[in-house]
Parts: sequence; structure tokens; C-alpha cells
Amino acid sequence: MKNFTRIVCAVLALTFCLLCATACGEANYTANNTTYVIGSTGPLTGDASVYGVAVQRGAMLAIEEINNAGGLNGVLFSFEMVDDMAAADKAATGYTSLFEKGMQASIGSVTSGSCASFAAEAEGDGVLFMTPSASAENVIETGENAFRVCFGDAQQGTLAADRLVETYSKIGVIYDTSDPYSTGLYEAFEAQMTKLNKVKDTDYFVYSFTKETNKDFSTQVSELKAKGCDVLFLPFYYTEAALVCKKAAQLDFNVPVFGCDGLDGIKDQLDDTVTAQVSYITPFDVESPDADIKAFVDAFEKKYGEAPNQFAADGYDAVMILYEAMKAAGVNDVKISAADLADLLRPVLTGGTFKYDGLTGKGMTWTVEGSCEKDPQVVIVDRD
Amino acid sequence: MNTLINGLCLGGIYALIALGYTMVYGIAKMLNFAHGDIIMVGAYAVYTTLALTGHTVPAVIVAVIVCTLLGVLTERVAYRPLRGASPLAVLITAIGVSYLLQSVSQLIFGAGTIPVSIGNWGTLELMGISISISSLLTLGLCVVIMVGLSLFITRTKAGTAMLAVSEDRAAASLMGINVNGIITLTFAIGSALAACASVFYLMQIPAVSPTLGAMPGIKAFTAAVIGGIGSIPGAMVGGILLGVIEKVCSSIPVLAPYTTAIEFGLLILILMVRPTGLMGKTRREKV
Repeated sequence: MKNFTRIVCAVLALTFCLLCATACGEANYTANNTTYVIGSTGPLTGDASVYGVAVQRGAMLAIEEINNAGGLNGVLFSFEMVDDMAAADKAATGYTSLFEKGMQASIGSVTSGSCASFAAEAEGDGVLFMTPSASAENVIETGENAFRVCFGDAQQGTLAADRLVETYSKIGVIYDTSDPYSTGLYEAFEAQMTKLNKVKDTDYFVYSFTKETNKDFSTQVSELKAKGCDVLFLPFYYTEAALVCKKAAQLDFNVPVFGCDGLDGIKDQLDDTVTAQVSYITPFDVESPDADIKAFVDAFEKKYGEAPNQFAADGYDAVMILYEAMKAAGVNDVKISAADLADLLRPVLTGGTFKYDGLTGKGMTWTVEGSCEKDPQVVIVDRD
Repeated sequence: MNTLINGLCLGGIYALIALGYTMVYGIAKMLNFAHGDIIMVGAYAVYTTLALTGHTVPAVIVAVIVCTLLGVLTERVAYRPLRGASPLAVLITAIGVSYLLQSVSQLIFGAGTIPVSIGNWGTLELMGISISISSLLTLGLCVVIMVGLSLFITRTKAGTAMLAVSEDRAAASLMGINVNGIITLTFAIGSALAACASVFYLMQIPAVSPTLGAMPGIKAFTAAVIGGIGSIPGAMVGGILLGVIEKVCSSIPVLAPYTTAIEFGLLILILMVRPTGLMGKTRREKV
């Protein structure tokens, strides 16, 4: 009987604790805000840290610019970024800590896997986010508050197919079956090729790898060389793409290489053994003569001592878009809750009259689904 | 045909690494999980020397010296004090050494991937197919090294002493063999082989990163187990088998995503049929 009483007591105590916890969960985290808080997670350390650090730097530059111009009606902005090492679970816990720090709007996560879990958490609290660079389809499918700056994977894969068939007749494709970015691009590419009446193993040849076999590409490259391909389409990231380029050079297979925005950064990984032309779809060209881009590049180089990449520009644009949308929505309460802010921003972004001229595209507009409409451009890597 | 040569070439690299695992296991009765990271250190040594001198030959020599010293040093500092300790303690120490090496390289060279160019000698047209010269060189040198090692073990005094220690450590020490010396020698040879492997690895995959040694380390360990851990010809056969399977699988588009699964599936299959590996000895425990 004594045991029974103990159990009952324990259960009651536990229930009480849980009730407390739920009550705490409803606390108003933004009540003490003195600035508008924009939050984000991204890989600041580890293999993908190049992307996270770039976004962080671009975003910080935007925040600085906004604050130097007096913020929004005199209220300044602050930016919080949590290191998620490109891991989905760390992005989810990072989200929670940001939310509890009073985050009111977000630029989501930098990488797709992380951003999907970030989006799932954000949807529950009604937080609006504008991811700079998470391009997987599922990132903005979670709900009405999910938006992005960059192209979606499907948009790029389709575009690549259209471009490549214009010039080439035998396209060699390699993709990473263990990576959602690469698989998403490839699937859209394949779908578009089918639509264009191109046949697999006649007009294009496909080989794959996984993250366990992402170092040695001798098989894929020599098979594609044997098939007589006149171009290589590499829908994955620059580290692996650089290895493919070098392997191709080693095998005297110097056909042009074409990729998507993941190839941004490949220039530093190539040496003079690679003579093939490398080009990729990107919304941001660091050497563009555009005045806004020049100003951004100069400011970035002055502050960080290196040229910005596409991710830095995306990060800058993401923060600026949130700021411009808040301005357009007439936000005038520094303690506004994240959900209330989202309700104000959503109609602005998708309303059709709001257009943003950014570094990564002019006249950007957003669909109700959250994807960004803008013109693509192809950059050829300058090797001199 | 090209796939086969690529596979043999990769297999040769695996075999060189697997030899390090298998020799250390045979003689010191421990699994040196830091072995893969010795390759990584070798690769960074090659990269640094290349950046300083610009020549391949000194880079190879420096890598071999650095790896040999590192192998001997880890044996002295980390493993010798634990001789006679439980195998589990030694195993955990080895994993610790592995993380230590990775973290130190990350501190020195950063976490990113650094491109290295070694062995860009173009291709050779042979019987209608073009083969990269560095692949042929890798294949040839792997065979030379393996033959050399076999001769060393069977024909020299130190080699036979190694065999004796692996047969029975206590008896060997009674016969006047310096067991500690032999174990140090084993680590030195194993690490020198790892240095050679790192050079060949860089010829095939021209980039270094702190986690470079992890995957070849695991693959080579698998190769050593498939061949029968402790058996030197076993490590060679296992390595080449694994390399060829990996390359053949990745050349068939349908199988490519399952390459790693097939390799480790094979390991399980072989261990089910022959628990001691292809060339392992079955040893009866006497009570």
C-alpha cells in the first residue's frame, strides 16, 4: 500500500511539472525585445561551414547597413545565428533556443536538410522565414510562412536541361544519390529531358555516387569518356565537382563542365591541370558591373578581406527582403510576436505589388507557395 | 577493362593499408584504429612538402619519414604503457589517438578540403583503351611493395623474428627475441606502408581533408578481416577483392547507390561461411 501511495504522489508531481512546462511554453518571449530580432541557423563549423559563414557575413552586413540608416522607425535590428553544423537535429534545437531568445522573423537555415527541420519547428509557432539558400522542394512545402531567396532545386534542374540541349548532344551526368540537393536537381533534369523527348543512354548518360564514395570518380569519368559525351553536367557541390574536373583532366577528357549554384566556390579548388571550361547557373556574379553589386562587394571585401560568394549575397538579400517587407507592412511595434509579424508580412510578400531588387536578381516576387521568381544567369569560371 | 584497372589500383591502395592493420594485429594483438589517420597525416605531409619544394620525390620521402616516426611515437606513448592491459582499453586508446590526430590536423590546416596536385601525367593508349599513367604506376608500385614485404618477412632475420612473435610471444622472448623492439618495427613498417598508400591515394584523389583517412581506413580494415586478420597474403587478397568490387559496382548505374552496402554485405557473407576470413588460421584454444 505504501508503494501505491508513492506511485500516486510521483504521478501527481510529474503532472504538475508538465503543466508548469506547458504554461512556460506559452510565455511571450518577445516581451523584452528592444530590437527586432532576426534568427538563423547554419553550419559555422564543419565541412559545409563555407556556406554558413558566408550567409552569416552577408546577413551581418545587411543588419549593419539597416542600423546605420536608422533601422525601422528608429528601432534597430539584431541578428542571431546558431551553429547547426548542417545537421537537421541541431537546426531544430537551434530554432528552439532562438525562439526563446525572442526571434521575431527568421532567415531559416542555410542548408536544405537543416532548413526542413527548422521549417517544421517554425510552422508550429507561426514564425515566418526567408531562407537564403535552402533549395530543396520540401523546405517551403511545410507551410504558408516558408519563403526563400534562391532558386528551388527543380527550377535549376529544369533550367539546366533546357540550356544543355541547346548546345550539346551527349550529356554525361553524375549525381549524388545520398544527397537531397543533388537528387532533387537530377530528378528535375531527367523530367525535363523526358519532356524534351531526350532518351536516357542515347542523349544523356547517368552515373552516380554516394557520400561514402564521393572521393574517387575514376569509374564514372572513364565510363562517360568511353560513351563520347561532349559535356559533363555535375549537379552537386564544388568540393566533389573539383575532384571530377581533375580526374577528367587526368584522363585527358577536357569537355566543358556545367553545374548549378552548388559549384559556387569551385574556382579555388581548381589548378592549372584543369583546362576545361567550367560554368554554372547562379543568381549572383561577383564581377557584375551592376552598381548595387559593386557596392556590396566593396563593403564585403573591406569588412572581411575576401570577395563574397553567392551565399553571402543570398544572406544579405534575405535580411533586406525581411526589412523591406516590414517597412511595406508598416510594422511599428518592437515587441510584436513572431506569429503576428508573420500575419503582417505574408500578404505583403505574396501580394503581387511587392517587388525587391536585390543582389541575386531584380524584381523578385514570391508565389503563395514561397518560391522566388527571378531571372537566372550562367557564370563561366574565369581561370586566369 | 578500365574499370578493372581502376579497381585493381584502388585495391592495391586498400591492400597497403590493410597490411598495416593485419601486421599490427598479428604481432601486437591489437586493432590500431588510428591507422587510417596515419594516411591522413601522410597526405598532409605530401601537401606541405609539395607546397614548399614543388617536387614529388622529396614529398614522398618526407611523408614516409613523418609517418614512420608518428607510428613509432604513438606505439611508444599510447600503446606500450598498455601492453598487458585489457584489449578493450587498448582499442579505446586507439580510437582516442585517431580523434587526436584528426583534431590536431584540423587545428593546423583547417577543416576544409585542400586541393593537391600530384601525378598528373596524362594517359597512355594501350590496346585501344586509355589508361591514366598514375593508375599504372600505383598498381605497379603496390605489387613491388607487396612482393618486397613478403620477401622481407620470409627471408630476413627481423622478418622471421616478427613471425615468431606473432606465433607465440612468450616463446619468442625466451628464444632471445626483443619483443618490444619487434613490435616497434612492426608499427614502423605498417606506418611506412600507410605513407606509400597516402601518396597513391593522392594520385587518385587529389585533395586532403582531416577526415581523409576515415573511409579508406574502414575499407582497409574490412579488407583485412575478409582476408583473415593477422594473415599478410590475406590482407593483399582482401584489399584487391574489395577494390575491384567497389569499382565494378560503381560502373553499373543500377548498383552504384548500393556500392558500400554490397561491400559490407560481402564481409558479413564471408564471415558467415569462414569466420576467420579467406586465409585466416583457425586456432584451437587449449584448456
